[in-house]
Amino acid sequence: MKPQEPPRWLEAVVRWALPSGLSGDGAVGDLREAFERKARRSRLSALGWYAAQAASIVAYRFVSREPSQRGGSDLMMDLRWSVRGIARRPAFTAAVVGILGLGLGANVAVFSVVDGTLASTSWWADADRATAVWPDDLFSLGQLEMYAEQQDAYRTVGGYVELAFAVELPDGTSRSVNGVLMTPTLFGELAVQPTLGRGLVADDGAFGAEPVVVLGDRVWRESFGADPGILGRRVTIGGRPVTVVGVQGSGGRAPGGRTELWFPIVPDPRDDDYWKASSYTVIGVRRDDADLVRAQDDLMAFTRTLSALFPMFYPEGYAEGRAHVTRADEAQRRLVGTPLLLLLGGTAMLMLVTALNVGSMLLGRSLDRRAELAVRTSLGASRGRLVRQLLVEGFVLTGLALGVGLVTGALGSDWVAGLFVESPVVAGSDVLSPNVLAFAAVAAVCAWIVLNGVPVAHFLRRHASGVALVRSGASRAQRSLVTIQAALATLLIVSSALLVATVDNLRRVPLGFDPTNIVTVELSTPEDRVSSPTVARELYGRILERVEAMPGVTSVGMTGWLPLRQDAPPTPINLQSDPVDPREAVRAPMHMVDPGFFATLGVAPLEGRLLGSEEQSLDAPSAVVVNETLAETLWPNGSAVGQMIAIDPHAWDSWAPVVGVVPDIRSGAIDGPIGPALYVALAESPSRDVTLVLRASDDVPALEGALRRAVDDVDPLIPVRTVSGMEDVVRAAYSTAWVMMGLLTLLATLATGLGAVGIYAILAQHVTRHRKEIGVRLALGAEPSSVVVRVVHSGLTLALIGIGVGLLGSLWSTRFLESLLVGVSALSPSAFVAPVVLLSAAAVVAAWIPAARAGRTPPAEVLKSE
Amino acid sequence: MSQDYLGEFEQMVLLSVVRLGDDAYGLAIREELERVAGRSPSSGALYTTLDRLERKGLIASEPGERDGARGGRPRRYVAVTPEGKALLTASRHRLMSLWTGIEEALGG
Repeated sequence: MKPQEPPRWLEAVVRWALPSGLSGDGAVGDLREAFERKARRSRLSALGWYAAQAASIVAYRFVSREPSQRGGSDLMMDLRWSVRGIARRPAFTAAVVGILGLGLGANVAVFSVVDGTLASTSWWADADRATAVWPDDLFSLGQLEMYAEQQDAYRTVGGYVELAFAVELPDGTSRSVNGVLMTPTLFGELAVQPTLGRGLVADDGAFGAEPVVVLGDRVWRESFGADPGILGRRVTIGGRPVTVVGVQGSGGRAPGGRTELWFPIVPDPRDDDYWKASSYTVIGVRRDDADLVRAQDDLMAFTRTLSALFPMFYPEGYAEGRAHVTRADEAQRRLVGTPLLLLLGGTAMLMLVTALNVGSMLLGRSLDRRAELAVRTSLGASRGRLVRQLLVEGFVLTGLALGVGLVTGALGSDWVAGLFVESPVVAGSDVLSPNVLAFAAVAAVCAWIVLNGVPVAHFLRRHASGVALVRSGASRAQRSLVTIQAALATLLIVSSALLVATVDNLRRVPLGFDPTNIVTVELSTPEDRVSSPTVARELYGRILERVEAMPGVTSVGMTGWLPLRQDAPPTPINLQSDPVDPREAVRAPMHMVDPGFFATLGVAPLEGRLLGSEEQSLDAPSAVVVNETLAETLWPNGSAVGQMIAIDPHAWDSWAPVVGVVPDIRSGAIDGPIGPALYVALAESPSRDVTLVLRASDDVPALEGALRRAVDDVDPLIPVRTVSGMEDVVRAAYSTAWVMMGLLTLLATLATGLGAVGIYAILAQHVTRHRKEIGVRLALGAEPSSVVVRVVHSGLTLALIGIGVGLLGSLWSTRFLESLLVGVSALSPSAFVAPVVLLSAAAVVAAWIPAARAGRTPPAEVLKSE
Repeated sequence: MSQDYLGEFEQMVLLSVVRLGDDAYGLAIREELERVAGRSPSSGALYTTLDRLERKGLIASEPGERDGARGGRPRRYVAVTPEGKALLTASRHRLMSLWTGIEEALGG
C-alpha cells in the first residue's frame, strides 16, 4: 500500500517557511513520517494535525516565542507583545485602525487622482520640451506651414484640430467618435505609440497620398471587436473610405484627452480654408539648445510676419501681451491642478485630525496601562525599551491602518476621478503604482510619528518626574490634541462654506434663458453630408421636421453653438455709419442659429425681431441679430435695429441689416462676464457639428431613444453624440466647483465628527475621574443642572479655543481658494461664522452624554465608597 | 560560542537528545518529550529551538539515510556537543542549589 502523503501544496508552504538544507529537509521529512503514522488511524485527523504544525512553523518564521536570549530577538518580542495586546482589545483596535485607515484612505484616493491626472497630461514623449505655441490662438493651415518653415526653435512643429467623426461600424450603424486631424510628423512625438501597425508618417500628409487613419485602442476593441486583421482594411469614416494603418496603444488619448482617431493633415493651398480657417492648435518640440525664451522670441518674430500679411486679423501690436509659449501640458494642469491640490491639502488636514485623534486615544490607553508599565520598569526594563514598545505598537496599528487605507483608497480613487466628469484629463492611477505606494508609506510614517509623539513624550516626562504628574499631564495633552483637531476642522469648515456660497452664486447666475424642459441633441455630421450649404440645409430641415413631429415636443431649434458648452471665436464688426479699420473694430463671437433657436430657449426680442425663415434661403441678404451688450457698445445713443454692419473681413463692405436685439445669453464660462455677441442664420454656412435644442414635456431618458431613432430615420449615418437635458449642461458648467464643495464638505464633516468624539472621550474620562468630587458637590447642595452646565462648558471651551485658532489660520489659508471662488470673497464673514456655530453645536452634543451622566451621579453612593 | 543560561525548553530538548543517544532526530525528540515530560511542543517551537541550539554550538547534526517513506528526505540526527553538555551540567548545578533547603517551604 502506498504511504499516505500530506497535501502537496501544504507541504510546499512548510518547505517555504523552513530554512534550506538539512535543517529544513529533516523537518519536512519528520512531518511526513508523523503524518503517515497518524493517517493510518485517521487521515482526517492527520490532515488537521499537519495543518496545525504547518501554521506553527509559518508563525515561528516571523515571531519567536522563546524567552529573549542575550543578542536574541527583542524586536520580535515587542512585535509579538503588540500583536497580542491588539488582539486582546478588538474594539479599541478596530476604532483606531478604522479612524486612521479613513484618513490614510482619503489621502491615498486623492493623491492617486493627482498622480494619474499629472501622468495623463504628459501626452508628449518629451514632456519638458513639448511646447504649446500661442495656445490661446488658432492658426490656419497656411499660417501653420509658414511658421513651420520660418521657425528656428523646434525640431518638430505641427498642428492639430479636434473633430468628431462618424465611424461606420461593421453592422451598418454609425457611431460618433472623437478624433484629430494632425500634422503627421507630430504623431511620432506622442508619448503613447501604436501597438499594432504604425503611426502617422510624413508621407501620409503628402498631396495625393492614400487616406489613412490610426484607430484608438478603445474604438478598435469596442467597434471592431479587436480584430487583429484590421490593418490594411478600409473603413468608412466621415463618409470617406480610409485605410487603417495602425492601432494606438491603450491609454493614448492625446492630444485633447478624448482622441480615438488620428488622421494626417493633407494641406491643399488651393482650398479656400487653407488660409481662412483658423482651426489648428500648434505644438512644437523644442530643440535641445532652445529654451522657452528662445521659443518666445521666435514666435514674436513670426507675429510680425503675420501682421504684415494679415493686418485685419493681426493688427500691429495685437500680439504684444497675447502671443506666448508655454509647456504643452500647462493648460491641462491648470485646469485641474488647483482644485486637486486643494483637495489634497484638505485630506492632509483630515489625516492630521485622524492621527491626533488616535494619538489621544493611545494616550488615554497608556494611562490605563500605568500599572503594567510600572511593573515592567521595576523588573528592569529600561526607558528606551518601553518607548520602543510603544513605538512598535503604534507601528503595528499604523501598518494595519495602511492596509485599510490602501483598500479604501483604491475604491475612493475611481470614485473621486469619476466626479470630475467634465474633465477628460482627470484620471485615477493604480493604487499599486510606485508613486502612490510611496506616498501612502510617507503618509503612514507621518501619521505614526504624530500618533506616537504625544503618548511617548508624555511617557518620557512621566518617567522622569514620577507618577504624580500622570493624570494632569495626560489630561492637558489630550485637551491640546482636541483643540488642534477643532482648529483643523475649522479650516475645513470655512473652506467648505466658501465653496457652498460659490456654488450657490453659480446656480443663480442669470443665463438669459430658462433651461427647464429643454433637451439638447449634439450631432456630428459626416463631411459628405454637408458638402454644400443647400444639401446641409435640406438635411437639417428634415431632421428638424421629424423631431418637431415627435409627441411631447413643443418647439425645436438648431445651433452651431450650445450655451455654456462652447463659445464661438470673435469676429470683427464694421459699421456702415462709422466704418473702421478691421484692426480697430469691435469684435464679437458670431453664433449661427436657426429660426427656432430663440423661440425654443424662450428668448423674446427686446427690439425688432428674431431671425426668421426668410433668412434661411441663400439668396436672402444676411440679417443679423445682436445681443444687448453689443447693441449698447456699438450704438449707445440709438437703436441698433436698422443699422447696417459687415462681419466678413474678406468682404468688409458687404452690409447686412441688424433686425433685432435680444437679451444677453450666457455663452462660454458660467463665471465669466457676458460679452457682446451676434447671431446669423445657420443656413448660410451650416457646420458639421450642430446641436438641436427642443422643448419637451418628457424628460431625457424617456426621449432619448425616440430622438436617436428620429435622426436615424432621416439618415442612419449621422451619429448622435449626446442627448442631455439643458439643466445638466448648466450644472456641468460649474461641476468643478460643485465637486470641490461636495468633497470639502465631506472632509469637514468627518473632521468635525472626529473632533466631537475627541471631546466626548475627554469629558467622559474627566467625569469618571472626578466622580467623587462631583458626588461631594451634589451632596453639599449643588443643583444637578449646574454640574451639567459645568461639563458642557468645559467641552465648549475646548472647542472655542480650537475654533479661534482655526479662524486665525483661515485668514491666511483661504487665499488658496481664491481661484475657485465666484461672487464671494475669501474672507467672507458668513463663512467664518459657520464653524463657530457648527463646531460649538457639535461640542455641546458631544459633551451632553458625559454631562448628563455627571448630573445623575448618586451622591450617597459616592460618599459611601469614600 | 558559549552562553551562560539555557531556557527551560532548551534544556528539555537537550536532555531529550541525551536520553535518545544515537536515535535523536526531530520526530523522536518530540515523542520523547511527550512521553517523559508530558509536553507536546509544536513543530514551530521544536525546530526553531533545534536550529538555535545548533547555531550556538550546543548540538551538532548530521544526515541519516535518504528514506523513500519520507519523500526521499534524510533524517537530521543531532547530538549534544561538549559545550552543550557543560552548559547542561552547569544549569543543573544552579537549579539544584536553588532547590536546596526549600522542600519544606513547598510542603513536599
